[in-house]
Amino acid sequence: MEKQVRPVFTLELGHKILPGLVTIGKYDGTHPCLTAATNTDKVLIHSPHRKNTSSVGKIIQSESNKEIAILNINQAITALVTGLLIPNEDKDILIIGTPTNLLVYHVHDNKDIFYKECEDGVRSVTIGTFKNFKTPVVLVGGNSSIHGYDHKGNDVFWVAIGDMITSMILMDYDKDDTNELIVSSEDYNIRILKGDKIVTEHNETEVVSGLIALPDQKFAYSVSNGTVGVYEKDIRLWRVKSKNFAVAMHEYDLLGQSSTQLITGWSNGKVDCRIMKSGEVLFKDSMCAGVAGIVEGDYRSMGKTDLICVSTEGEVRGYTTTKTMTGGNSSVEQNTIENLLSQKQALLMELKHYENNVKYNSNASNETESYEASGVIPSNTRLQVVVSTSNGEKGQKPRIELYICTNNSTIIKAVIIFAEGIFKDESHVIHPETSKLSSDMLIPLYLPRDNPVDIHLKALIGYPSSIQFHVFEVTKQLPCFSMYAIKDALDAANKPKGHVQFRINERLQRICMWINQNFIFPTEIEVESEPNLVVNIQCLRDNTDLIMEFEISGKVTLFTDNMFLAADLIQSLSGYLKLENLESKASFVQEESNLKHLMQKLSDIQEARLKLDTDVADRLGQIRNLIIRAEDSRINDVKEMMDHYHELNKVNKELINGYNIKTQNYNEGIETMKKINNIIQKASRLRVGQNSAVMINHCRNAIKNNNIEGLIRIIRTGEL
Amino acid sequence: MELQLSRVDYTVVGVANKNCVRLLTGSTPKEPQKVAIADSEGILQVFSVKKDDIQIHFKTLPGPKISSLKISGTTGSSHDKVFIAAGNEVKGYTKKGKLFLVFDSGMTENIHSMCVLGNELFLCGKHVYNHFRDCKDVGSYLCGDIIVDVIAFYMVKTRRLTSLIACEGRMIRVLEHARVTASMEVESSPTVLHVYEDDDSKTVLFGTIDGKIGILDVEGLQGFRRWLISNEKNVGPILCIDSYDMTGNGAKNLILGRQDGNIEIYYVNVHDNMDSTCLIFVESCNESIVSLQCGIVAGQGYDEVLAVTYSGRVFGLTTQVTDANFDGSTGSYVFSNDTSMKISKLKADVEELQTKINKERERYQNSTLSNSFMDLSAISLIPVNYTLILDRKTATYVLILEVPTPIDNILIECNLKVKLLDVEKNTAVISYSETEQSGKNSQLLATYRCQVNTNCIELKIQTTEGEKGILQAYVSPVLQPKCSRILQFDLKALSLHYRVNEYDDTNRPYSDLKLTGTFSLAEIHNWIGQCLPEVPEKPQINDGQLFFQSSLVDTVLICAYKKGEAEFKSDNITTLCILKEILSIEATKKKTKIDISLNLNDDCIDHVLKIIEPKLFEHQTCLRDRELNQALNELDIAEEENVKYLSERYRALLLKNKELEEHFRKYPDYLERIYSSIIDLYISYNKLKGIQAGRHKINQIRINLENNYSYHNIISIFKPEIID
Repeated sequence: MEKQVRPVFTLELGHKILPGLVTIGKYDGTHPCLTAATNTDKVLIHSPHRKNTSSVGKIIQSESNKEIAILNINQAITALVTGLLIPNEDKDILIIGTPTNLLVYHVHDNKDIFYKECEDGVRSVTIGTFKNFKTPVVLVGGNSSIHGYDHKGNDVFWVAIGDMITSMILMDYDKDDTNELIVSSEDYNIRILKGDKIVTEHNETEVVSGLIALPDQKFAYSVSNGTVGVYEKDIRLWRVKSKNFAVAMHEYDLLGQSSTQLITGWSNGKVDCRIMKSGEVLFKDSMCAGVAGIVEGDYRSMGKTDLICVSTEGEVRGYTTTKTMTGGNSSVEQNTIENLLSQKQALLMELKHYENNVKYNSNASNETESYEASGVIPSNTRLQVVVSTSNGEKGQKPRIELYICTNNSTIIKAVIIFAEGIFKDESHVIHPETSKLSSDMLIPLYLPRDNPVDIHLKALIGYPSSIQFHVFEVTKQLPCFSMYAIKDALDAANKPKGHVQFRINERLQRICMWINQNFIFPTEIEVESEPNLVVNIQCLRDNTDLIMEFEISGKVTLFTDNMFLAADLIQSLSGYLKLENLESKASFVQEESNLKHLMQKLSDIQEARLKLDTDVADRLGQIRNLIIRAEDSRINDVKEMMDHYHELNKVNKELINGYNIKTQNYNEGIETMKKINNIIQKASRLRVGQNSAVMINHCRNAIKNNNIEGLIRIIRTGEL
Repeated sequence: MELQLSRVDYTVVGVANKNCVRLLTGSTPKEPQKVAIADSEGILQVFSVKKDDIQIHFKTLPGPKISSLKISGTTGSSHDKVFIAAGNEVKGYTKKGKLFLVFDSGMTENIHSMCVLGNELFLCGKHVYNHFRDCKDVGSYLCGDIIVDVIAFYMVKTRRLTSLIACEGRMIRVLEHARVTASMEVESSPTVLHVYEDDDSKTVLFGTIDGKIGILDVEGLQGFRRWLISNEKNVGPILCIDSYDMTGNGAKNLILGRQDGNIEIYYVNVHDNMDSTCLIFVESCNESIVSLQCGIVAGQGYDEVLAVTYSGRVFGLTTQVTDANFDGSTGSYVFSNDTSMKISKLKADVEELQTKINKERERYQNSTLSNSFMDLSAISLIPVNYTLILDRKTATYVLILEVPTPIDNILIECNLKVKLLDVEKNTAVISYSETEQSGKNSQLLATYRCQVNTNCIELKIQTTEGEKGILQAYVSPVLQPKCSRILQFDLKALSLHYRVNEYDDTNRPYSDLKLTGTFSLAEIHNWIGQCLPEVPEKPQINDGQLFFQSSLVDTVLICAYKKGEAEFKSDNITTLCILKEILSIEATKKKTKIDISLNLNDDCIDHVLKIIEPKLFEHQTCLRDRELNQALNELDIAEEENVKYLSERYRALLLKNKELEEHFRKYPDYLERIYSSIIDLYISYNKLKGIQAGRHKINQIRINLENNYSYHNIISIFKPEIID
């Protein structure tokens, strides 16, 4: 059971706060101010320690509450971060992101440090030292790429990610005294970047929504399906899933232990405190509304920071390190006893089962009741599970097939498969009609993505009339490239045109091992007498072909029109062979023409945007004119006033139309940009290590100069 | 909360039932009392607590399941005889453990409930009530209903021996000399009876399946008097009641144990209905509390509540403040000597069991590897405690499943389209699985993966009327060897109806459905049982009439039937339409020839629309208010300045935010259900007239309902002829 910690202060902000957009900053260098985004597109700064209240510039002082100041943004706020940015200054800078702009604002001096239009949008922001930059940089994660700015607003860094960036943190991941960037994006990935180079990738089952850095090379992540977990280096220490999702995470020593604990704020208002290493819950509290954010700051001027939780309804609770628990003095002993009793109970129950089993067996011949009803099965009942691929005969969709059967007359009443990321929810149930119960079952599976998946199968075994079933549990790992089936040799004419070529110095035997580990083939691939190893494969998702040619000389060619697949294969292979670097030559005609097309489209969109902007300016002028004239005629000629207002209405409608077009244009722009970045990102994954980083660098330059031909050349060769 | 109690765990026994624990009267008051406890493994044990340690005085060998345990003694002497009922036998033990009585009741049914009063013994099976005096049969009564509890006492004024039986069919019967002197109808099924004694009066209280406590007027034979505790927050069924002065101010408090694991202590005044009941203590233990009694158990002079959960946990809630074992210098806890003794003893116990289990596990594993076909894997049935109750206010079913060991997952399968609603305190992760659309297959497949240490889970199920079906729950505990227990629940065609004893009869127009044919009384009774919930097992001997009310639209249904003839009257045509369909299906199955005649009363349409109207308005207003509220919140209302400009109504609305959210959480989709009940009414009305309801018309009704509801609009679609 949980220990008890009571809040040391509570207050009401009186505003509704958007989840995830809460931060705290020392804008004058000493006093922390809680800063949050409200649901009315405003930034609220709560400064309980300020002496003189003066409203100057952007900040508007609230009338009802002297401690609260409001900053009007008038655009949806997507990111809110504070941090030290300007060298040699101890005042925190507030960074506000909107879907199109980035505002870096000096609250204390009330001045904009810079205001930038970000074409790629702003989805998440972090601040800190990174790479070899001497001063802190602002890293802005957009819809498909990350941009870095220095304190003057100069663009100093760029990397393509390929999907919307949901969260970023800077931390020393490999203990080399420089920060690495950990990025989570909407394609379910967590990537760790060292400069331009991707060091590690973790794949989760849903969109990763939040990351926080923890000490000792650990970081915590939260997933939009309600999972929270902790990684230590490459290893996931633990994860838990609940039906609510985690909005905010923070590390804080709440319970006065020598190390900090992970504090999580949930969408249903629950706040819990967990041991970082195991995820065990030590403390729980609940706020009246969903948690919006958790921050840490010396809010009581005690010289010690407190943990501050903010709810979406504007309720603020402060907690502090509490050693002495209030209330429930004997709770520790009581808990120990309760736990032990629970254990004892479970053991007694299990023992009873075994005893009854023995009794039943010794007395089996005398049992009059039908043993089928009570779920008694022969003790040597076994469950067999076979995984295979099917090309989809008889009009069925190509798929993976899971065949399970028992070894006697028992039937399979139902099968529950728990797996993440391959079903709509986390489980899939097969419950045959009573008339169709049998001792074997074929379960089709369809994996949407190329990732290894663990499936936990629970089969209910018994007889049709049983009221209790034995549960057989089997765990299987489906390899990364499960959705690919081997194919007979195909004619040269149909060979896919796209290909990627590279050299590896590795025996073919090891490559065979890689293939056998990562594909489901009916028989293991072996090196035959032929000098080269050629594998013909069919993708079960779209029936396209993949040919892998491994020559004895070390030359490898992968023929496929799917560049993404080629990239995945290269990453998997190089990971298996532990390659540091890999250089490759690629030719994906389709992607190249796609890219050309997209680049063209993007510049069209940008042009159109300019035109639309001038249109809006035009209409605004018209409107101003019309209002003045209409109000003029109110005095002189009422009839004319009506005409003017009618006209105004018309212009207004046009303006709204124009706005709609603009939004569409904007969305299209975002979408195009995302596709381009996605291609670049995948192309970089055709290379490994330094080569990949170099390529990204070249791409940045090519895009800056709008050099389409150059970009394509880079994708082909990795060099400019 | 006025009361501070702390929990102390004592021991574990096997799976426990109602009426399984009692305290023996001590020699002197304020002296710790002995605890007598019986479980379903047939073990009776008597123990006392000394210095946090359990001292067992005696313990019987396992035997048949013990269904009831009572304490009694001859008048005058202290109550120290333990009586247990198992099978159809009653056994008596002295406090030392000496067996002094074995009495075979000769009843045909197993004893379900028991009451011992001096030399009077009352035993009840499922349907039989038997009264014995000095072990001699002095009378019996056969009840058509299922008997759930029995109590007996001497009336205060007349000194006559009276016994009461609580029956599942919403009836509490008063018996004297084994003859029913009064039948008291109550609004919902009683679960437990209790005599609240104070000074010189005795008041009979009863608990219900939907969590209420009512007072009966037995002395005046007036029947149900009033609700003492009404059930506002809809917490689970009442399983046990005790009255005891916990606060020490001379007045007895009421202590309740509920199925949802709550132990609640109330301040009550049974004599004055102006003196309102108030809750002074509540403790939640996540497991159903099957039995409790108050007394002095551990600490001399300290009152406590001794409670037993379904899984057999025995614990106390004591007024004794346990010592603070907090060591200020090190900032950590030190266990007191007594407790650490207890803990180390427990630890040793657990370890010993663990080694034993390991051996057994290995043996079991080996047996699964052997090739002999003679070996069998027989795991005893996992006990599951379950209740499925209709929550009338929201017209949804609440299913409570409880296993004496933590649950791993639950699979819910249903061949009807039913909806699972979110229950806030249920922390399990739900996951829906795709179902095949064709045929009679499962329409719902969902798994609940439970978080650690979940013994009990509550689900909410929303059904629609029209077809009958079966809901199956596969409960798999974490316990090795892994098993899954299947439970089946019938969902009746008119699942949202509940039985009533009386209904508001004023101004209801009725349509009726007449059934004649060559069916027997048992057959028609069975058919009705297929359509409606809460139909008694056997036909009631005398009346042959059943009343039902719909929880969704408040219409009534009256069933009057006998051999060869049945008449159904309802103000809701949809109800009759469903009934007609199901009855003809049932009759065809039995190959019985029946004639159905239907008498449609057009006033029913107007009437039903009129009774739905207020609900419709209420929920529509709520919906609109919520939309407005959300819009208002978009305004920057935080500034007081701005609030001033709002109208009175809007300002009030702003404050209602939470209420509105609560409303929608409580009644999800309610408006949609009201809409479809009106549309169903239209469809069935036309169907009974022999017309296929047009899609166009149905859409028209829907549009009218959603956008501009008026009684006139709707009725004109129902009855176009009125307009012409």
